[in-house]
Amino acid sequence: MHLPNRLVSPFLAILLLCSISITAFAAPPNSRQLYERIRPSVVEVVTKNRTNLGVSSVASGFVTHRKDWVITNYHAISDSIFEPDDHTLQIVSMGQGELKAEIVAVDIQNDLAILKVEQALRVPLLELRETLPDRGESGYSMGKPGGYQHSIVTGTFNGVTDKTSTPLIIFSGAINGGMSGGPTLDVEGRVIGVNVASSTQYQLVGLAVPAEAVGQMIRSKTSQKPPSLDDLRKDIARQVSAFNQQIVMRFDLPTHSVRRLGPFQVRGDISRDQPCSAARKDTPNDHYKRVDQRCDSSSSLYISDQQNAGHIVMGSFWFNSEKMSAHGLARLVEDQLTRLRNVKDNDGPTASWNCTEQRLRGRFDLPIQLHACRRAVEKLPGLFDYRFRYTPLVLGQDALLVAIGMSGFDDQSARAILLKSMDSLSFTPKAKP
Amino acid sequence: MMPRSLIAAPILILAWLAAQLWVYFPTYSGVADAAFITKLMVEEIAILACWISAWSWVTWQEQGRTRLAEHTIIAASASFIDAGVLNYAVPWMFFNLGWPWPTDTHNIPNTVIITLAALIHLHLASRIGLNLRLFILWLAGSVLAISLVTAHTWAKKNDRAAADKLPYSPNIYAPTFVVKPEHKLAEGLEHMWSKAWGDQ
Repeated sequence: MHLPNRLVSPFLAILLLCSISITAFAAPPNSRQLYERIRPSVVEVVTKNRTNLGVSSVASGFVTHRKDWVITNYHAISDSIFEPDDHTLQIVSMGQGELKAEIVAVDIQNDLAILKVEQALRVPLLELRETLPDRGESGYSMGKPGGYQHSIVTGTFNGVTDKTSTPLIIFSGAINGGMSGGPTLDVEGRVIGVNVASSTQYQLVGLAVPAEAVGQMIRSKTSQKPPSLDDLRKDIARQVSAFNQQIVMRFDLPTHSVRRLGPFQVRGDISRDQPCSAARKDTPNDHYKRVDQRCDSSSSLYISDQQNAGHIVMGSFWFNSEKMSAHGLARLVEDQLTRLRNVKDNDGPTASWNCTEQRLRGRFDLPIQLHACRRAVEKLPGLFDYRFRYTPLVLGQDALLVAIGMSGFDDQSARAILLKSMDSLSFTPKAKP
Repeated sequence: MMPRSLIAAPILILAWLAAQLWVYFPTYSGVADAAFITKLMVEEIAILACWISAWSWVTWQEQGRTRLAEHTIIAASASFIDAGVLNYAVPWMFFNLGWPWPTDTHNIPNTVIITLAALIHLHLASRIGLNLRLFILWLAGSVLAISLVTAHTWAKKNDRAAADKLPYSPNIYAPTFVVKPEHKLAEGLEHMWSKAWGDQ
């Protein structure tokens, strides 16, 4: 079929016009348009410290689901949970200024919190996108970096990191201090995640909590009434216990191998990402040799500036001497035990340590001397810090001391981990020629 | 024939030791081994020996003889009353009658007993009645001792450096002397947990 020439030109012109219009309507907003649209829904989250000459810490937050709810990071508001007499929580919105806020719910594993503002904010609700972004997908991050004005930052999404206790979206863009709690957005302006941290090692590597965690927290919150601080702390303690249970289960994985230290076998890596390190230590004379092994659980939960939870450090010290008597080796272990009594790690007020000792029969009836110390974690009922030191009582040229430090654990999990560690201990004396 | 005081002194000492064991054994046997109880007993005996020796020395200075047996009778009697009556019978009676027995309540009658015993020792050491010089010396010594104990208690409570240390004694038993431990790992840890931290 042939169209007459006089009809072809107008037809092509209309087709071109339509295609331009469609493209114009489908194009995502640019960063300026997005900033204007999203900015009213992003707020400052201010924790005012009454004791520190009124100096405040500032983070960001955003409005979603309800007009009187603000989503932010847990670490941005934790002071007002544990030191409520010294801290007040406020949000600063673009149109309504300073407003009082209360905590409705926290998710410490995902570092999230829901705040209830004293009056509904006259701003649009941000939409959550609960699917993970593709690698290379462009996006934005919004928030208020330090003393600077609210900012929008461009970047790209680059998958999810599994080096943390919960998955976090990698955002290659500048997430600066103060932007924590602000939204990470896709090009359409939907919330993909919540700004939470940036790498201290690498440039422009930001991390965001996936929006799915926000959605889950919102859906699980049946009551809109803010709980009392006591109830909130009980809930935090319960969440820590759940996290501890995960650590206990991970202890059974094959990654937690045993390692050999001379004639002893001890528990090996606690974390997949951080293998144990072992080093021969210089000794003041050639009477004995010493090898130290250190293992660390790479991840822990932030509770407050003074307290982390779910963190384990394990040190094994092997002494070997062909010149010293069994008593001399016992004195070396005692000396090391004395050094390990120092536990200064905290400036805040803490409960006092309560220690006990017990002799136990390990595998193959190996006698083990255990020193166990425990102290309560302030304001978190049922959680404790522990220090365990145990040594197998064996004759011969070798001695071993294992020291375990555990922060923020419940009794059941601490006992299970100690049991698994002690149960890994075995001793194979050298065969006599 | 042996003077009666020479017979009474060891009998009272033995009675006091028995009372002391009677108090310590049920209290500590559940939470400590025999070595711990022995250590406590030896400490008590050492304190009593120092106390009797000091009063005997004062008496010897005043009278030219020690009157050791009489001082022993006074000290052992007071210790027996302290262990058997104040630390055991009275709290036992209170518990059985359902009355409250606040912690450290026994400190008050304990102080009264020590003061009375000291006054009797003083009377014995004095040639006639109560020697005023000795009394003032004893009073000054007591005030000094109480001040030192108070200062020590205060320092212990407020010593931040000590608070940064785990309160365990790092004693390791030489393997040769260690008997086979009673508990296996799981049950032993459970036992330790309930023993040390069960009521917290």
